[in-house]
Amino acid sequence: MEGFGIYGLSRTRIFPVYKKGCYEVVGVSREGVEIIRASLAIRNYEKIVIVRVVGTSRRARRIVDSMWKD
Amino acid sequence: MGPLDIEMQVDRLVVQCSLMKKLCRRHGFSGCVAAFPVSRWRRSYAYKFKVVKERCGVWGVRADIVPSGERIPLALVRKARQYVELLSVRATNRKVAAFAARDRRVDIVTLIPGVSPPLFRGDERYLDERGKLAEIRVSDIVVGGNRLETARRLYDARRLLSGRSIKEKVILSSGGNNAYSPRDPRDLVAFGHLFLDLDPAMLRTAMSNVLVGVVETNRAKLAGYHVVEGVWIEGKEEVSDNLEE
Repeated sequence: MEGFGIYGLSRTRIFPVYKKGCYEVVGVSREGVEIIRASLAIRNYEKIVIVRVVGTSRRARRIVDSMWKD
Repeated sequence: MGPLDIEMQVDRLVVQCSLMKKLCRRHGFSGCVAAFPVSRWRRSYAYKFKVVKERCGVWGVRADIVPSGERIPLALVRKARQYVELLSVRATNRKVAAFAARDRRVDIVTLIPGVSPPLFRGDERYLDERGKLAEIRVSDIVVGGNRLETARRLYDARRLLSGRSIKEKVILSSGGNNAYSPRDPRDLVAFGHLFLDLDPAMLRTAMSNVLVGVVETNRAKLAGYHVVEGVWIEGKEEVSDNLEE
């Protein structure tokens, strides 16, 4: 959150939901999606990619389960 | 588009371009143009451009002209134009900015916050008439760990984009210096919307349809299908098919 600071963090209200392998489902407020995306555009170090933005955690879990194969 | 070093050896260059193309596809780009900063011309560049186009499966090659000093890079533009699909010039001073906006061989004018002067209304009119694009690189704005400098450059970038019609012609690029630099295009659009007050729909169109149109036209020119402005020879469809991959 280099570009937005604590204020941006409070607007996104980001929290972890589910993790499987290298994939992680995080919950954010709807208006925070764009802030997260802009933060990823200006990063220099981490390699984080948003796979998909979905409306429900159930759908997100299903996508992660389908992508991660043991 | 990701900038790479043209001075690298050919084999390493091919590996880096292939890696960049793979990353671009992963990020959601439908195609990739390998960009090379060129500050002086060497004979080997023509061969390297050709090898990259043939062996890496990229759409084309872009020469990013870096002018040195106050001089207008006329010779560099002339030499690079015959090998590349996209040609951009970094507007480092007023003379070069005016030249880049005016010259028909230049496709993209790269504006550097804090260095480039704002374009005049006449320059913007040239951009409109000649179907050119203005580019701002995210790496020129964001300085890691120095928020004050970042804020200054953001102010400069907004000032550069304060013209009436230039906002419709702006594209954003990551501007890194290696094969890992490509960013998700949706991330760049979000950055432009939040930081630079750009319209997301216009930005999306400029970064996809308009840019593809420019590349397609230049490919047709290089292949000999597009003779002069407004005159196309039959067989243009073959070029379009290749672009779709």
